[in-house]
Amino acid sequence: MKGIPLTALAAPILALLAATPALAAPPELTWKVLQVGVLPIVHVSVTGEDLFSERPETARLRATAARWHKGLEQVLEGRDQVKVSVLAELKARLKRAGDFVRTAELAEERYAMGLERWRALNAAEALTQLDRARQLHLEAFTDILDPRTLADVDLHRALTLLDLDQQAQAYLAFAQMLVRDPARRFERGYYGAPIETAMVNARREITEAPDPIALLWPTERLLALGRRLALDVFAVGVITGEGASAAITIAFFDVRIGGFALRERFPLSDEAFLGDDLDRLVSAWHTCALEAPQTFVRPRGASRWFVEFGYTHFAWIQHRRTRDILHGPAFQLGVTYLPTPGLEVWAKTSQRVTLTDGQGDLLDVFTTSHLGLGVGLTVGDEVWRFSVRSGLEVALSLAGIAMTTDVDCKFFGPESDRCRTIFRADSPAVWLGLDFSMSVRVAPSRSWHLGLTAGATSYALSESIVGELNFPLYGTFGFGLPF
Amino acid sequence: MAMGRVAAYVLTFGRGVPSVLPSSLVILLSVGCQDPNRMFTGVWQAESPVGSEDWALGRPELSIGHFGTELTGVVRFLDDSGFPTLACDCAFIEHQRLDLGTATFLALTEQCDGSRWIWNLTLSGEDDDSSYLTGTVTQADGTNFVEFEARLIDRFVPDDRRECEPE
Repeated sequence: MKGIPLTALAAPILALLAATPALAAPPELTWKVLQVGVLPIVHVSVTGEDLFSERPETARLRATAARWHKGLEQVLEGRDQVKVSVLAELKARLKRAGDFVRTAELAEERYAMGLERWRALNAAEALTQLDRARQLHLEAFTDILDPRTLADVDLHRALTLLDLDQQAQAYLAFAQMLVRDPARRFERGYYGAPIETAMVNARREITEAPDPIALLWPTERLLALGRRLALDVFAVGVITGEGASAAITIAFFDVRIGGFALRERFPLSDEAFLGDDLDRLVSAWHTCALEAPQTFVRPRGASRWFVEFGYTHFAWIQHRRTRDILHGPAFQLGVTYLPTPGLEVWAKTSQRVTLTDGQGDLLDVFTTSHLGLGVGLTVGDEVWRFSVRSGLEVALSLAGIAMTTDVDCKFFGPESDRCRTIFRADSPAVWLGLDFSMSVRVAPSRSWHLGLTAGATSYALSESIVGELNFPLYGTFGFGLPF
Repeated sequence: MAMGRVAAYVLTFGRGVPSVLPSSLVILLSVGCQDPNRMFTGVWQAESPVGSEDWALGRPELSIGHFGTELTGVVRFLDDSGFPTLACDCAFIEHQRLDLGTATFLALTEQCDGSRWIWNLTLSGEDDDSSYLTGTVTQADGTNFVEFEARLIDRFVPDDRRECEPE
């Protein structure tokens, strides 16, 4: 201790006490902020005419989609515990979240090879390249960052599939093109009547689909995007129908549950209630989406595993070959597990040094290693806990033990003619015994505890030394941590 | 090291300790930090011969092993040159009584000629450099008596100083 100022020891102890929350202090209630991404509200026209030129009704509904999109963002931003990310922000975060440039370049290379094969009338190989290009684009989140590029790939996949006479797959590819780029227009007659018919039919299939949102935003894509950007919720929407039958469907996809949490359809016949409708919808979603702090709902469960380091002092109560009690220090490491509130399972190991006595009856210091395992009954709460334990203990002695009360043996040595009687225990030796103890644990904090243990061991199962040196009584002062 | 021994002693508990402990603490204060249970241990050499005209046998050298309340050892008699005297040059020390409180012991040696001597010695001194055993050496039959003083020359007792084969 010399040279170590007392303040140097007190400082870390005080810091530890200050850093650990006291049991009496209420837990800090921090509500989770929901990360919400708002994806564009899409309008898919019901008629094939829009493939070639935009009609006034289409333009009106596209403008309506933009208004609802803006209104949705504003209503969401007005809610507590909600952080809204608009599309531009999502794109920026995506670019920061990973290097997709190389993947997108590979996708473009595959797309170029696919086009080359398609123009060379090798549809089968073209399809292989285009499928790979589409897969790479999805890995690079091109459907968010640059959806028109992905729509180009889907267009040529559809054309290739038609060349291969795979009508159903071609319709699906056209539909995927249109949902990525609903405003795409074609020059009438450029691709020929059969292809134009296929595209018109594909558009119709989108609008007639029972769940256009699922077509626009497949679950796996939203989950991938949500996990990549650490978003909790996506707000998505689609406008279907025209004129008096036009309606908008808005849905909230919750990444935490992997599905849509809320979906509502509003007729667009009277937009005067746009604000009210959105407010009601977002309120309904917000109420159920918020995550209360876990400590608020349910206090943190008590730890079941504990580790304890301690100083032990022990004394051999039975010592027939020495006049004084033999004793010594030990370092102990223990682990306790509480499978049920009243039961504990414990294991401990210690290294004990038995010191020579004043009379010198123990000729030399000897060290023993101990390993114990057992169960205990325990009562108490998180602050105080009392346990009664029993178990088996194995001790390993690597040093020979010699004891005598004959002073001549001590001075002249055991081999001397003057040495009349001496007890020796050979090494290595293993002693097996029963261990009994009682312990009290006090936990001023959830983070650590202090423990006091008193116990005794009976090496009743080892004949070699049991009659001469036995029943070590011990006390341990320990510092423990839950884990 | 000496402090460690003191700590070990203070921690010692068991039979006899309640009576030994207070007196030992007194010894600690008076004799320094030497372990009271080993305070007589060492090689002690007398400055002058023991004896008289009738029984001068040389300058005694006591090699003592002290363990708690007992001691043992060998006494060797050296001539003026430091060599063992030719006759009865050594004898074993037989423990008789030891008082930790007064730092005094009583021991008996039996010479090869059958004479028995009683050594009644007391420890004095602040540290190893100034430790002395002083007292009397008396023939058991009371025929001779002499003052005795020996200085500690080594706390460690070598193996060759523990050997004695009286003729």
